[in-house]
Amino acid sequence: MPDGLEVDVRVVRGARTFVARLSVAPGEVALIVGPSGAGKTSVVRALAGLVRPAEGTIVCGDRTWFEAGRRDLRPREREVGVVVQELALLPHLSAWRNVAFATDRARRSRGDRRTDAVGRLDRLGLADRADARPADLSGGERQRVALARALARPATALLLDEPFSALDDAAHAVAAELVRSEVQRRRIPAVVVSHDPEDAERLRARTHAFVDGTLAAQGGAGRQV
Amino acid sequence: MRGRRPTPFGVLASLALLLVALGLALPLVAIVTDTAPGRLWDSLRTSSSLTALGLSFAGSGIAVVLVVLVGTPAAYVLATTRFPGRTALSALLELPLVLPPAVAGIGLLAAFGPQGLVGGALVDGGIRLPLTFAAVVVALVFVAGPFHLRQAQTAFQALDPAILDAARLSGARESGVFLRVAVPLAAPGLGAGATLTFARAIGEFGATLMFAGSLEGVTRTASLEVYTRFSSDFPGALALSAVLIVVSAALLLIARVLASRGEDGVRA
Repeated sequence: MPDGLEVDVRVVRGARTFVARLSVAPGEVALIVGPSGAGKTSVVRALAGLVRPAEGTIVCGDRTWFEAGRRDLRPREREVGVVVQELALLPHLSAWRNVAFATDRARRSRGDRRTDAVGRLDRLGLADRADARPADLSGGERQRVALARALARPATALLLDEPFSALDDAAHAVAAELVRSEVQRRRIPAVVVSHDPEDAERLRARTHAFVDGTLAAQGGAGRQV
Repeated sequence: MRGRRPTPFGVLASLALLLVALGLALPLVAIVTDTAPGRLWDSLRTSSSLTALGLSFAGSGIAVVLVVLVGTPAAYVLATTRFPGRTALSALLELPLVLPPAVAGIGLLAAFGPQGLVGGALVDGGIRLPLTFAAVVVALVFVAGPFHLRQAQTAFQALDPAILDAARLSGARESGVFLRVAVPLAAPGLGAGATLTFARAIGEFGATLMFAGSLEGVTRTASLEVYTRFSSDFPGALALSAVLIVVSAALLLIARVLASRGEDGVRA
């Protein structure tokens, strides 16, 4: 039985083409680094179902998310926890409601959902901002709410596009440790995009980088299985 | 600015503005000043005035509810999906905005009249639309609905697609994306659209007259009552007109406040 996330796609964005071959085991973090414009975000968006690859396959566990011309699961059906670069918090909802939006709505009272969501914000040091709207949060606070929302989703994989870029060093360390422990505890694959190569160590991740438009793993540093 | 003389163009443009203001405001001012307060009350107390106002509000209210319930999801589809013929359809739906009311009336008769395109089938089914209150509602929906459709489409188009995608990625179904994200975020624009539709419906005259007629107590709305009275009871027509001015002005104000709130809100 295939395990983890198996990616082999070609993504065309305008005049540019990116090729990504990626194999991420359950409990493993794949870190994608590289300069802006290299194609990191395009790959994450393709995995999330927001961009359709020109060809290839994406398989997660025993489910095929994408197979060119034959199968293309909607973003919702892929059951992934995602942080997009724009963060895209729901502007009409408070921080805790943004987080609760991603949790299972069935069979739970409002009080339970609030307790759960505030607990998730608390793990990122944001419990006291639970009732603030996104417009009243700082950039770093918004980023952490987006991360808490991604982690709140009952997901079969995590896709995090620059989840730490607006955080100070202390918050960065806390957030990265939370991602690492969640991935390990839930035994799900994670793809994290970052411009900071040191995240490999924080996340004990294998680093991938683009070489001539093709994403490839670099060395075997700190692999977690 | 002080010490500078106004330019000739500036003077001309200001005169033009003065002319516009006078030309547009004069009839309204005349109606209000020609109506003595006592006289206003007397004419309004007559049962035909109250009945006509009641018909206007009931017909417009029902029309707005129908337009909002059906038009809002329709505008959402128009605003958020790409399909062949979308631009043409969008333009077609705005056409009633600029149609001469008489043409709208003829069109409704041609469609729903006894000899009309679908009217025959309706008669066979026991439904006879023309000259009924239902015909008033149909005319109002046709003429006033596009105001909501257009406003709603604009409001939905202004939403950040990334936010709708984030809701999907968080597990929301398409119905949830619409009801829990798009509608709340577009609410000010939707409210403005519904208000404009109501205002336009209150003022509707031509299509209603041709399609629904002017039967007292059945289809004679307030603007038809003004028209009926103006030869026999000019002061009464003035009084009812004054009421309609106040209602229209209030609705316009509400729509403007809602629309400006929408512009602030979407950026948040």
